[in-house]
Amino acid sequence: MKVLIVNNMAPFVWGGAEELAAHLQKNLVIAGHEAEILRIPFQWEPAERIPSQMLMVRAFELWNVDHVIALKFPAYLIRHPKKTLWLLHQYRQAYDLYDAGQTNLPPGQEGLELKYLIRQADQESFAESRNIFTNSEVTRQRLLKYNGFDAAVLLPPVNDPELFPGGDHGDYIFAGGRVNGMKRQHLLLEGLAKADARVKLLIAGPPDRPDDAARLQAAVERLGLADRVRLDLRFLPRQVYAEYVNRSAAVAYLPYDEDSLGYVAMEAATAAKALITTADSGGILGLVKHGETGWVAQPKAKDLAVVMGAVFENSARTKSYGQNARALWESMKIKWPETVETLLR
Amino acid sequence: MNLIVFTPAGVRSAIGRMAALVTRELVALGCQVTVVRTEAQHLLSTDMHDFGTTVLAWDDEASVLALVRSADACVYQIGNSFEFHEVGVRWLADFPGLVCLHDFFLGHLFYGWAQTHRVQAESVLQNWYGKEMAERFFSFSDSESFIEGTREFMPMTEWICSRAEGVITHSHWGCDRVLNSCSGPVRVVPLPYDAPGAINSPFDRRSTDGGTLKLLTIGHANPNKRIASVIQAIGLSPLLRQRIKYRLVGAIEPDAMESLSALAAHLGVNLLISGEVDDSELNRAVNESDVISCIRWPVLEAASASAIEAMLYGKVVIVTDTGFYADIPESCAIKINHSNEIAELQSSLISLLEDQSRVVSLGAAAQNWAAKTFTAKNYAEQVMEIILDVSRSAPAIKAINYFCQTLRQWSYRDNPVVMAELTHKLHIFEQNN
Repeated sequence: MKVLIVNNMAPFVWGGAEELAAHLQKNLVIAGHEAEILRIPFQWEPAERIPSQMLMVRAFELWNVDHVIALKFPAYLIRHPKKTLWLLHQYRQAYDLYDAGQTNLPPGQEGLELKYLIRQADQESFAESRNIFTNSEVTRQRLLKYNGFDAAVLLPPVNDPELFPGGDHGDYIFAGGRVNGMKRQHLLLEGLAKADARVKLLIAGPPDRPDDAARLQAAVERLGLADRVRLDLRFLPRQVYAEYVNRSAAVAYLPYDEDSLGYVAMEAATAAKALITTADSGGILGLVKHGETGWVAQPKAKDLAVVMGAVFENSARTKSYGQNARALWESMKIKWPETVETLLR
Repeated sequence: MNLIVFTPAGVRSAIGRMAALVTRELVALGCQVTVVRTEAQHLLSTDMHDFGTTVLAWDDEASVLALVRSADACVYQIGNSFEFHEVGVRWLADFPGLVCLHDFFLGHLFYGWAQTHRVQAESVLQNWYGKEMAERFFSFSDSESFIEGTREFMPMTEWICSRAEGVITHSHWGCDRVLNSCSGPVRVVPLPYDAPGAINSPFDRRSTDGGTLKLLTIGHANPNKRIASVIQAIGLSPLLRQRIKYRLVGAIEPDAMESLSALAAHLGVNLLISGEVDDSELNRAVNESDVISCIRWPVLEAASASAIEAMLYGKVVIVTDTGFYADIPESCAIKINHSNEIAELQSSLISLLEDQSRVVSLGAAAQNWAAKTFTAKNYAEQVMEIILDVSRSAPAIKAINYFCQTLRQWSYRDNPVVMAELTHKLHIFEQNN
């Protein structure tokens, strides 16, 4: 079967969705299909230009394609008689973020009409899709609430599980992934300052903006943590990243209200590492069960200090949390062959 | 080029006469043309103009459909008469093509069409003229108030032009509405006409009646032809009363005949009302005349066949200085301002009587200009060119329509801000037209 994966693109930006599309392509090929990725440029600023980009996608005519798997707004507006949505993102600024007053749509009537337009286009696209899957329960609930479509959750598998066999129980907590305000690495530093002096922290990953890196560096300086913190702020080679995970004592990941389980948490669970997150981290809580697979703290420095200390208080307990995390993850049976089969159903 | 021409074809139709001229030229230029008659069914068996090619009646729908599907383009001759053009409107909706627009005012055609398409008609009116205007359209009590109340703000030009892939119109007047509504190419092409009955040139004119001028008005004697004004202009001048013979040729209702006769008698005007006559009598009347009155108010047509014909006969024409008539060179016609109609008519006729050489020179200039301008060959060539333009612009228009239709499905009303952002981008297609 000829399968086209359709995704957005922002030139020279590479993140989780791009990784997912690439691995989906790879696994479609492994399953015996022909697969390509169509990446469609999308820029959401200024918001007034969103409709013309939506129309552009809608006007594309595909041929020589048996099945389309579309991932994101507005790429999923593309027309095809056999279109499956694996919904990573609606345009949240027209949905929950609009309701929360955190939208980039203009105020007043103009924004209201843009919101309506985006929702109507979504509605049309969802209705014509053969199947809709979401990448998390949060996304599924949002889709149900705002659009009335009851999708199935299809969690994305770890792309390269062989890189995460686990390993030595090291002397640091690892915080990986993109570095920005929403991922709250700064909160970990504040917690560390209040934690037992034995606790060490490794923060590694690409900052979204130079300011994000500077903020962490300043915090280390200000809190006097230079001897307990290592910052490796760059886009890491996968091997380096995997080694940081495999050699850690535990993995901390505290995004604000994340939709999905999060690759950082899934990879840590694959490596049998105990997990630390916060109560407001959204989808991550699907993997982090307090007192079973790790610790769920309140998003406060004081509470984080306590759980960071707990990692090193009882290393047998920390290791058992890690084993539990791996067992929970494996019980979800999230593997590429099954995922590919489901998507082409 | 394989063309289907939808037109009234009966001898009563001036548009049919023009279409026959053009069709013969198109055939001469190598086109394969089939004519489809568009008159109401009871007129389909009337005598036709000579088109020099196959003519089908529209009610032979299977044959027409087969032809349309294999044609390169459809050409629709559209005027204001519902009886003559109803079928053209119907086929245009299903098979868009080139419209040759004979009247800018299409209120009567639209009114007739609306009797069986009321919901659609109201939507068309609202779309082009707004809710308030739309509510007024069907509220007039008689034809005169209907024309007066709609011609300026609801002429329905846009209704037909928005359905056309391209438009040929016959004067620059009213073009803004055409350009604003037709998404395809628009050309102004002089209306072709001929004067087969012309028997002499203006230079042959000999005054046989002691300096009397013979003034003629042709066509249905309705208020639009300003006949009462002409009678008053003559009647209020002793000189004109004495030396003008005014003749009306064309259909006239008994009421109009009575009132105009009474007015002429009251003012002492020499008026001859001939009523409807056959072609040979009409030719004779035109040939015998010196001056033809083509004044009109309001002006509703895209071009005046009778004015063109009068010029081709080498006659002096008096016209209202507006619309199509304003495009006639000053040296080829006498132009009257409607606001001062009677006085200007009077002074123009007196001036002609005082210098009768102008009757010859004006007629000659008009004949010369008209013979070069209103040619069927030019029209046929322009039809072929605009059809090629239509084929070039059609894909871009299709794209614009696609985007607008999609956007309409997503919107609950036109959003000026969003629309401005989008239409700005869509101009790229227009630049390629």
